[in-house]
Amino acid sequence: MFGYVQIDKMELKVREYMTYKGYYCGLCMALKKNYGQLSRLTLNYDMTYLILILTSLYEPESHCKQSRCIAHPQNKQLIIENEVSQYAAAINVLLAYNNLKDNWKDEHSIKSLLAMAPLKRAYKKASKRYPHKNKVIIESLETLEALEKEKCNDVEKVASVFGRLMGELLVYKDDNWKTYLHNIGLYMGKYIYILDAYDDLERDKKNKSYNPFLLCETDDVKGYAEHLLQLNVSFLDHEIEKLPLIHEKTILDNIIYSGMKNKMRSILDKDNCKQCKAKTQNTRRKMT
Amino acid sequence: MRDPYEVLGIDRNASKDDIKKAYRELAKKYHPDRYSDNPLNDLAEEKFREVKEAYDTLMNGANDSFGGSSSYNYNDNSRYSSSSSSSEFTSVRSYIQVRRFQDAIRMLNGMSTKSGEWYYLMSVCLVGTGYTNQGFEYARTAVNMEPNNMEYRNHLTRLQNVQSGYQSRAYQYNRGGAGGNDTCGCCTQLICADCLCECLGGDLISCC
Repeated sequence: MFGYVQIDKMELKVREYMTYKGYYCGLCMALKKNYGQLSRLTLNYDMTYLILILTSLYEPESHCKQSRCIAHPQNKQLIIENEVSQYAAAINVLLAYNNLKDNWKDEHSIKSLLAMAPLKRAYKKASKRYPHKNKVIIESLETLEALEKEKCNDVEKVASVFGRLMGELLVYKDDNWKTYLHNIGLYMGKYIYILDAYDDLERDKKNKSYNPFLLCETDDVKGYAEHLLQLNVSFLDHEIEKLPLIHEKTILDNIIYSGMKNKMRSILDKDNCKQCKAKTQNTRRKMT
Repeated sequence: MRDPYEVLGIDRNASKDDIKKAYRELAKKYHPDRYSDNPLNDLAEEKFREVKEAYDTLMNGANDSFGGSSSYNYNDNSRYSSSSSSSEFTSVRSYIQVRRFQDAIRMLNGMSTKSGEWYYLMSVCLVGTGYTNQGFEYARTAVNMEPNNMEYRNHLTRLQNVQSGYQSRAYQYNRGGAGGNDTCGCCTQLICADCLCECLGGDLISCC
């Protein structure tokens, strides 16, 4: 998980911002209580989105309180916790651990191995609680790895594997919202994967690692990425609009209409800036 | 099935938000948890299901769903292409109706001739399984092959509406929130700032 699904803070009301932070801190607290202090380092914004949307849909009983924490010792923070934050905490641990395991296996990154050790107990606990979700994560990561090995050049195909994984994770209960939530997760996951792949483009080029954008046969990679992202976020919005979301809808709107858009622009234009710089440097060189 | 609007107790031209609110209220009212040890339990449960069904029908209504719902009812839609419709296409359509896209794709891949209908049905399957980009292309191919087929056209329009819907909502959101955060507003603000500075004896924009 990468934190591409964020709010646009400047466009939120203070009340909405506090609520959003409350859920974020609630997730952090749920991690601490269930999986130990160190698991808090895996905290991220994408999971907060999962909490928001599931809370908005199921409206579970939430507990609010003010308290201090290590990260913010000076002020008391609003903390909102409910059953969904417990679920999200477990999923967060499962994703983080499996991701580290993958990194260790592929790249033999010592950092990942070291990070895995303190998470091991948390992982065991979480996988015992949600064995099915854990299985889905492991299987999806394996499928992704297989596609990487065969150097798949179909961006949508690879992204869909991650999308389906997110779809499964968003399905909180086995009820009639299942299809709706699965579709939301599908487009969300695809969006995250595509944006992440594009973000890593330069680095992967240098390291000669796998990246579907490096293999696909288009001249205009940026345009292609932008087109795919636009398409996915449109369908995501279309699916979300089908759910009867009322509470926290304004925050969800902020994320999809503004926060995600900003993040996408900053990543897509970053590359452009580099090109601009290269171009100006070239022209300068020519002039001198 | 009863009229979904009647079940939810709303007007025929109710907005999406109205539908959602009505659903919320009724779902709370009939939620089975509230009647756990109550003789009315069965009745509440049935009501709850009815409300949910009505909501589903309205949200997946004729104009914005991709596969697996009433909009792909081939009995009334495929009349346009019925002359070319083979029994194979009929079974593909019935797979699509129950959202068994993988089976439908397998059948389509087994066919040798690729007609407009083939591209159309493949497009529905692709969109249903999340391959939106390719689904889009196939929908365009289908329309190009048979420009007069309304079924294919409607499908493509629905896809285009999803895209434009997001864009207009995102535009509205950012306009509503930022109000005047454009070049015009920026200039007005600068001129105002310049006037203010001049009033106080300074100058922000020296030329005016």
